[in-house]
Amino acid sequence: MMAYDAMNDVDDDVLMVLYANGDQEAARALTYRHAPRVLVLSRRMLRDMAEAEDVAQEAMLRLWKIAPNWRQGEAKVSTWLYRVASNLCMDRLRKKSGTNLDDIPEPADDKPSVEATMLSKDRVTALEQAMQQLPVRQKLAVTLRHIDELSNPQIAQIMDISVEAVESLTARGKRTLAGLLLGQKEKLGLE
Amino acid sequence: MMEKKPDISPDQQLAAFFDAAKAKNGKVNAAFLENVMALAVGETEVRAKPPIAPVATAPAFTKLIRSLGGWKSVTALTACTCIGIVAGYVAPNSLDYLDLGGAQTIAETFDDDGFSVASDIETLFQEG
Repeated sequence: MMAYDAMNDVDDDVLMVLYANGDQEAARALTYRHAPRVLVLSRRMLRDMAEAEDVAQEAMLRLWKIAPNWRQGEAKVSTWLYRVASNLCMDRLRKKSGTNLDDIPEPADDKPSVEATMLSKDRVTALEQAMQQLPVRQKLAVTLRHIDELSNPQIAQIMDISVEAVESLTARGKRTLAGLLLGQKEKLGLE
Repeated sequence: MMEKKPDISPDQQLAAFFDAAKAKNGKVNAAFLENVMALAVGETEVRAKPPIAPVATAPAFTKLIRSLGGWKSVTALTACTCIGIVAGYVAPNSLDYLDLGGAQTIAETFDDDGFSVASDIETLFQEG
């Protein structure tokens, strides 16, 4: 078995093969490389650390299960994990809301509740509050694009939509966020 | 004359919010990572277990044959049963073919002797 440090530069596909053959150091390398990012994404989507940990663990468990059948070169491990985690998050949000995500109407700009909360919140909290106003798919697209800094083609793979659809979702999301946040810049110390 | 502020795109204006969110990622709980590792170990152990061999289950008919002592015993029992049924149903005179080894039945013996005794007594009376 290779030591964990020696695996820092090893490709994800190779790590998957090693893990499928029982190498736990490969699993450790994959865990440290991907689990934190999956957890952060889940937390941003769900805004609940316990739920986010559940989702991230479920996504990682699915990765361990699929390892023996992993087809090298077909998908990136990170993209695959983001996709699984995104779907799990959307399922949970769907159950919470009890409505079809596609049926959720676009929010009106300048929601007073966001303005009110921004008085006592810092920028991150204000952003999170504003993100909650977005439809889930817009929220996911904006998060992946502007916080996780993934490329549009990567996001398209994760969300199983076209690159154009990703661009549309992020543009609409940012327009809504701008409407909710930029009017409050002074209060947030951004002027 | 007022100096006009340069136009800043919404993207640039939102960048401060996104940068703040990126910085907030924070450290990941070590226990969470250990849980994920434990899942990896558990999954490896599940895969390492040899598949459970299916237990051979005999059908009820085979169990019955075995309880009677196997096929040989069952064949012998069946043959004896068949002979018994045939012997019970067929007419007695059709059993002549059975070789009794030359032995006479009691009735035959009595009948023969009876006739011979009776004829002997009659002869004695006639002779006085």
